[in-house]
Amino acid sequence: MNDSHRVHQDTAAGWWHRRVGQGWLAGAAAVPALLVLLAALLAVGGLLVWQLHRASATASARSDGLAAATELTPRLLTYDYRSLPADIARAESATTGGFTTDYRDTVARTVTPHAAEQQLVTHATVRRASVVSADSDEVVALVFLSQVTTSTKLTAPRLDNSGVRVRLSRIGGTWSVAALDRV
Amino acid sequence: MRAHDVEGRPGADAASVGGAPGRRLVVPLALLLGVLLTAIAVAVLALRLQVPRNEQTRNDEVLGAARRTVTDLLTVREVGGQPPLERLLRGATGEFTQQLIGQSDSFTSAVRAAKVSSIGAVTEAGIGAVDDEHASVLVSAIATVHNAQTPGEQVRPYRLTLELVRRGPTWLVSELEFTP
Repeated sequence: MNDSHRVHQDTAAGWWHRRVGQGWLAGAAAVPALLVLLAALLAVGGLLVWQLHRASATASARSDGLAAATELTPRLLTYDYRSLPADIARAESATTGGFTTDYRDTVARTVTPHAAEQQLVTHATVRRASVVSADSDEVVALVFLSQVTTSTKLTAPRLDNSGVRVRLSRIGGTWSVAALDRV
Repeated sequence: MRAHDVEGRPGADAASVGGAPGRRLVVPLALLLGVLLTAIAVAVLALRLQVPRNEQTRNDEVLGAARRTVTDLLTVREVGGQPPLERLLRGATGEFTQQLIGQSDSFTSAVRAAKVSSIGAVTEAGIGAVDDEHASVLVSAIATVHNAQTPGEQVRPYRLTLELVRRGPTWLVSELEFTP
């Protein structure tokens, strides 16, 4: 036994050396175990960061999607027989996916044939709007609408109130209507 | 002199024993520090994630309370002839409570006279605005009505606007309006 080793054992440094230096942390198992633990924690941390990012994206989607629903929904139900092609094109630009085709077909079938002859003018406004559900790229809104229609078939302007469920998708930063149903 | 110590200790490395006792601990200690810091960061992140999670739960509760109230309001059973008033009252506060109490007598006798039964169903509900104490909700619903005088059934659509407030753990309807 040499003197410096005896000194180690009697001092705080010696205590530290004995406990830690010869303890688990100095052992062969410590580094791999700590690496595994660190990797697991980093994985959990990464997952949490991703979830926080999604939550934040969802929060902004709620307000952006609701604003889009309020702005775009009336476009789909507003047209004037004197500017029908332009009005329909404007409405279509607010749609996306299969709904664009559905909308175009519905209008071509139910509106275009009679619009000019009936001098059809209809105008929709949003009275109230709400969010049913929201995701970072999709929002479902419940919108209460008022629609005023004049035509030669009506003796006076007709007011229709309705509730519609509007599903909006965000594609490339732009919100568009992907579905619209009366409820 | 250190060599004497080394000889008797199996597996010991002459370069790592004694002298700088921490040298072979650098890597494990650094890793331990890394683990601790990461664990703290994970705990902070997990706490922050509670906020949106709590908001989601809150929103679900608000919509649930609104849906239940509207369904109960539009449901009138012929047997007994009055809406589930007790449950409606439990979910109500403020102005809406007054409306319910004020309406119930005349409503009940009118309903009994006409022998009407109505089944209410919510078709959709959405949140207009919400914070931890107040919420505005839109509800679209239908009432399927059977009437003793008329055969068959009628389906009537309704649109409602509700204001809710939080009382303790529950959301109560404080205002309800049939929206044109």
